[in-house]
Amino acid sequence: MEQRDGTRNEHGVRRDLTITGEGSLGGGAYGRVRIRGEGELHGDVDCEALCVLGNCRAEGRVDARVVDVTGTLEVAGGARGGRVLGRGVITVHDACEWELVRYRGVLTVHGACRVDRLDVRGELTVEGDLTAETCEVWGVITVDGLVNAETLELVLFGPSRAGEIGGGTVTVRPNRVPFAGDGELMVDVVEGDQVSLYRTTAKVVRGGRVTIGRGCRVDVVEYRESYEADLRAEVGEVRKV
Amino acid sequence: MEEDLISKKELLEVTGISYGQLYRWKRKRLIPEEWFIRKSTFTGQETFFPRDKILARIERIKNMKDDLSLDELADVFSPSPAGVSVRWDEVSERHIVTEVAQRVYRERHPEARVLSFDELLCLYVLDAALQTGEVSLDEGRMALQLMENEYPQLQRGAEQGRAVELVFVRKLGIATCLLATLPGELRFEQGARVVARINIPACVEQLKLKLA
Repeated sequence: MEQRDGTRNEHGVRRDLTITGEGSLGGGAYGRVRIRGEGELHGDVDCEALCVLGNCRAEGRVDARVVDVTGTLEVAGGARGGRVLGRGVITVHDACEWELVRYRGVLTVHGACRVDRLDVRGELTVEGDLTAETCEVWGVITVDGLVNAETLELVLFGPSRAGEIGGGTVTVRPNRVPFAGDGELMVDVVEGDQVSLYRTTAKVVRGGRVTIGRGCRVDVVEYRESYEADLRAEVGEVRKV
Repeated sequence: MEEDLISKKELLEVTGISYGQLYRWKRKRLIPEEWFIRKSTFTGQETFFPRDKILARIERIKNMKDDLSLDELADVFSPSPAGVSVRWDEVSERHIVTEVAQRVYRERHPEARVLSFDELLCLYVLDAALQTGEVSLDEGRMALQLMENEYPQLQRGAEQGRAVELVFVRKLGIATCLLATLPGELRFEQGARVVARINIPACVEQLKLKLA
């Protein structure tokens, strides 16, 4: 384990720290924390950057300006910070708040998740509400609560599920990848100004401009401005309000 | 107590806003989480709102949104204090609180020269209580002490959209006051009388507007 002085800020010097091989560090404020191999963080960690190449387990919170993971990161407390980048598996066992998430792999949050811009390719699971300004997911999404996003774009690669979806523009579309297979989305209610769906099973879809695409099964559609449905969609009742 | 509720659909019709706007305002925490009341109806789950509160709130958002950005608006409605402080002489100059309230506050803090938002809030709540006309000066002093000691602990809850209320109770001329987190129910024994209830988030809002 090597240590050196790093970023200076108003609280004094924040130490940079690198773990190579195997090691652990206590909670506190750090500059850059680099883990190559296996690392454990005991207590709440507040750092400029947490870079993991390998595996890392945090017992407390992780508040970091940048989290960059290649491998796995498991956080027992909550997480908050700027950017989350990388590829691999991230599991957080409490509520999260980030500015930007650009992640390839599996991201699981056992709690509410609040992100400004979210871009996930892979699997996104949130036990609670997911709140984002822009939310783009290529893959599979599982959200127990409400997905609330100004723009939501969901490209289906597998069986997805959400409690409710609400926001400005909601787009669910098929992937164009050959041999990748088709996904589907199960959701209770979809509400938005512009809603465009594909292979979605929903009880109610309400919106301004609604497009129901191929393979959808919707019990009730309520629209205000326009409505379109694919011939291969099953729609129960359509109401203009 | 059954509150008068309004369904989401009706709300959009009455106010003329769109789903996108409603969800945007929810995201920005302009509309507290606790106002979204989920109920099952024969068409499945539906969302309802407390009618008077939500209509008033949406009216205010619509009025102010041309002048302020959504984030600034969120500051107006959020219970967490904006980073402001006010000099003592400004408090009287700008008529933020009445002179009576200032005097009561002065007794307790003769040295205070600059008030943080939290301190100002305590003062403002004291003033609001005195202005109801139901609360005596002694009770006001008690409330001020209570606010200063206990409100910081409740504030975390307040940030998550839970409202806090200051309740004055009197029985046989003996008075006390308490802070309650809403939603929650308070029951009193027969002889006790609730003299006044002060809604803290409402005070926060008014105070922010006065400072703006």
